[in-house]
Amino acid sequence: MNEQHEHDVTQGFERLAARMQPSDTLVTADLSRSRSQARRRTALVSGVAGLAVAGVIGGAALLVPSGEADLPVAGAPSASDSTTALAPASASPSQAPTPSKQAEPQASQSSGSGRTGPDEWAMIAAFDRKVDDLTQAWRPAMLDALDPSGRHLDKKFSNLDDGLNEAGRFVTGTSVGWSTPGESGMGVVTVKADTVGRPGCTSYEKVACEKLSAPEGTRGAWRWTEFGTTFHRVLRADGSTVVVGTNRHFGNNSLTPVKSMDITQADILRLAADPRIRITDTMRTLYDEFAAAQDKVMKKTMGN
Amino acid sequence: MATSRDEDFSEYVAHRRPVLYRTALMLCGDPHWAEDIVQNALGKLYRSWRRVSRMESVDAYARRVVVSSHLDDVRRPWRRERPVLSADLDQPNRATPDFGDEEALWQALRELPVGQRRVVVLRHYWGLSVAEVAADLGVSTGTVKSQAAVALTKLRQALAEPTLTSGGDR
Repeated sequence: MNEQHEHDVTQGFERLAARMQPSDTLVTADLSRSRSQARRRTALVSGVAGLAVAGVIGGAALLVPSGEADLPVAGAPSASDSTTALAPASASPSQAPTPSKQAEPQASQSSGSGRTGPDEWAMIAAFDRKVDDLTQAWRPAMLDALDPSGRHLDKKFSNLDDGLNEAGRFVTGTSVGWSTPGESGMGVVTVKADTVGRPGCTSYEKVACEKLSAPEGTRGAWRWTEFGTTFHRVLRADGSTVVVGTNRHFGNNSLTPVKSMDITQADILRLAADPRIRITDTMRTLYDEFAAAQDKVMKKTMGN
Repeated sequence: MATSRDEDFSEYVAHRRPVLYRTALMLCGDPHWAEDIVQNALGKLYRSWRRVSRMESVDAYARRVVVSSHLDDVRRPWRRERPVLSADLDQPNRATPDFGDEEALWQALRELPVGQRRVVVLRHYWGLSVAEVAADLGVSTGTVKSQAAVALTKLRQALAEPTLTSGGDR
């Protein structure tokens, strides 16, 4: 390659960057989220249940550069001037819209240095399908409690979250869009369940945590609001907890909030107490197998 | 009450977030995923701020965190939210994609293997030297050179023949 070709590509990247319009995220929101992450991590690392997780993360940190480690940085580039607003190699900001969603580079992983076996990926895929099935199974309970007419809740959930809760136990959940026929905008109902939880609110910010009357057959209920979402949490008789969050604006999927969500606190608590919202024993077993497969994949991927 | 740490961090974010976002977007190709990467990176940056802010280049550290965060996501795809695209759903409100004359370059960048993509983004967006890219990614300079050569061949073709490579999976 000659210098002219390299120069052409660099200029192409400058033009490309100029067409990427960042979101209008407030600095205060970034700060707030970053502080929350810091508190979450502190809580996780200091928790007894977090030891297992810290072990995995710590092992990974030994194998791969991480943003949390002391990073040996390359020499300061010209871009290090914090007054450069657009880009290291760009000159002016652009109002051009951001690009649309592209195909994810999953297929390109095989061309990287890591190699993973089909068994592990099959395990992961099987886990994903199981979790999908489980979450889909929650929809009837959600409809019964929140949307008996079936006019508001999306027919399919729009995402899937899974991981470990503050007690180091498996938690999974989903966010479901809430809309009103004939009206623009979208709200969201988030439901998460774990196998063993702790009483109280799980907010990582200093927010007011209100203790509510526990629904029949449960051990406690709490409510708090964080980042515009109102959360209700119910500790059930078996020790599991369910968190239900509602927000008139589904920020990931819509720019416009719905005018209202006709859901009462009693509706939400009824959903959180519904025994159909649960993680099955099969899921717990499967998660252990999945975690082992995940660990195997990580070691293979990072070991090369 | 805002602390000095918060104020300094906020000032940095106000100035440099767009650059971090564009870096993430070039790496992952999805605006929402890029936002996640940036937010995750800013969280890590905040935790390390006292130490990082004493470094010669906060940018260099932040850049590495963004690249590492993307790498973590790629290596652990099952940890990410997986949007379900369906005609039954209200589709996300995304800005209309418009790369204009750069569409072919964007598509070519998307089609690069992730390792090559990282190299060219650091080389040609951040303007790093081969040695600096190698240090950032923890690979040899030879690896950077070979990956850059292959990637540039593909990108040059996109720049020279935009009509042949545009379209992609849109």
